Amino acid sequence: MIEVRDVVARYGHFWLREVNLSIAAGECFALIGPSGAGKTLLLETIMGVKPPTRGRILLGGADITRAAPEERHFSYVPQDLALFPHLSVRDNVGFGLRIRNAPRDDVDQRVRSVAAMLGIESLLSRRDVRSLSGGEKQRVALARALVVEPRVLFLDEPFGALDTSTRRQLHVELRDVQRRLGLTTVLVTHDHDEAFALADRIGVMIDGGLEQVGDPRDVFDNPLNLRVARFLLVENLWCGQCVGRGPRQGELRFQVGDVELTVARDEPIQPGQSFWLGVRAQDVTVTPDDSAGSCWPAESGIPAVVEVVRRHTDRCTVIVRSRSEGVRLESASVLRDGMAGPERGQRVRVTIPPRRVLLFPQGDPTAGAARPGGKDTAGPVAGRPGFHPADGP
Amino acid sequence: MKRRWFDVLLLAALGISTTLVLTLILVQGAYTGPREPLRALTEPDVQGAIYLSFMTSGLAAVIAILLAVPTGLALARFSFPGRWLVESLLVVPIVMSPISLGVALLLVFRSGPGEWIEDHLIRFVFEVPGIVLAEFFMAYAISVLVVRSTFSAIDARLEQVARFLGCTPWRAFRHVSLPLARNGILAAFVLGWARAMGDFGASSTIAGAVKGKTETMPVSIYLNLASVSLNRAIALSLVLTFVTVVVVIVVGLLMRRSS
Repeated sequence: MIEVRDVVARYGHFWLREVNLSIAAGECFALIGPSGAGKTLLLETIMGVKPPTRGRILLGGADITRAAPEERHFSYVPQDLALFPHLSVRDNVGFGLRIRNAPRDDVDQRVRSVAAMLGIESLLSRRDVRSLSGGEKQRVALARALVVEPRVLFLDEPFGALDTSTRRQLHVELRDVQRRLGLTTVLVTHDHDEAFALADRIGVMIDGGLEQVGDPRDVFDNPLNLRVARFLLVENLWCGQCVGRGPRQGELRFQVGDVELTVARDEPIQPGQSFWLGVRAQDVTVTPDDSAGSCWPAESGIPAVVEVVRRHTDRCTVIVRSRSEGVRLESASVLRDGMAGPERGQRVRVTIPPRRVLLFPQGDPTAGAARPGGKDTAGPVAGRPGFHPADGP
Repeated sequence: MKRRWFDVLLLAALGISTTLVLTLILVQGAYTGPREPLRALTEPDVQGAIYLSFMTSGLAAVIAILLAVPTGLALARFSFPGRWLVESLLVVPIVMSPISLGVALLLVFRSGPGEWIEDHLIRFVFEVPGIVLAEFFMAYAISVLVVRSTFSAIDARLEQVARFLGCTPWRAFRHVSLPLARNGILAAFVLGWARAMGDFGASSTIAGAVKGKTETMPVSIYLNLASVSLNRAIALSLVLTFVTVVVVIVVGLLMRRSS
């Protein structure tokens, strides 16, 4: 449907580095990345707001690189929604049809039909769009974009200003509408949850480059490099050195400070080689050291002490420090009814499934200036040979 | 307690300022009473001055706003090196002494292409078109300033969205930005018109103060004061003040509606 071929674009001093991307018809594709990564610039380049310095953009095989925005049959919902303040809700929704000189009856009928689909029929009579709530504005902006039956719908962080419950509700509604209409959709967001809730595929943009594209689950579980891992909030990242084979076939042992981690990797890694090791907090299990009847043998796991406990509505985040040399690990677990969770200062044991440990080469050229230990929850112990932030790529 | 004294000080300043302006307005009517100035308004000379002022300032304000809208839009939309300098240059007539502006215009038509225009196309010096030209410069600067800030306050993304909904750049401007800027443009026109109507220095320098020919209201006030015809001067001054008060109220209302 949309093909972005070798596109390079510039905005001020910021460059979009040669982007290649294909988005299939009917697909919902989310561009995610930190602020200033170039997501909106790429979106605007595809949409034709900013012309690329180099490269081509194809829509259904036709080159639209130099086509004017109004010739592309796209619809766009920007972050601030950009509802026309001088028009009523009805006129806002029907704007695109009236501009195309659609017959009045047709405009009325299509406006009502889209309004019914999005549940905003009662809002059509409102004269002042500024009086609408955030969620209502969002639906009106979406209706205005959908009523012209675009070939592609572009959404630039459209849910950013909404409260969590409205946002979640709109995620469900948008996904439903997108699937029902089979509408090719490109969404820009920095919210992982939003991308996961809506997208068939995601693309991670960092520093003007598209670092990784794929199925959301796959990208989340297997970040391609350290930068993607950092953006996808792999909470535990340490420098480690391979110290030999593991207890089972296809396993390797890595030394991280005083902690020895077993990593399932069937790759020719030699003892002495250094890597970045990443583990998601949700994959780290913390159990009381004296837990009688625990599923873990008393001697297994890393002995540690609970340093910080953060309780959230439905889960608990625990930061522990290994007992002898103080490697910090973050763990996140869902708290079920009646579960108390660990206490600060409690002695615990930490276990990490070998298959859940991610490995990134230390000389990873794509890692850029990313700093190990940038977050206090993931930092190796400063000052220890081999685990100092300065050793990072 | 300190806070209260500060508030009292601020309110006192506000009161003094309002009183000063009100005094300026009311003293004109109070000096001779309303009867004599009202009678002076029926005199042909005075009516001629009012007609000439409204005609020239109206024409100048229309031409000014027609040029100020695209100029203000360009200044609001385009970013280019030295834009601040261009912006500053365009508002020079606001701060420039009106007589200096008049002298500059006089010199334009005394040499080069200006002289050719004067000789072959249209006469400005000591003629009514000269008044329109001088008033145009007075109106234009303030109109550009207001129009530019009006367009700057309109989110450019609105037009962007309109483009995706099928508008050409012109239609996006026509259907989105222009309606949103309507009150600002009206305010720019009214302010420009008031500024043009009140001009004395620039227009009298290029067009002269010729009784019955280039006698606008400010020129007429000057001439009547010089010949000690106080009633006529006050009648015209009251008309100018009335226009100014109406303009201020209209602009205030337009700006309130815009915001």
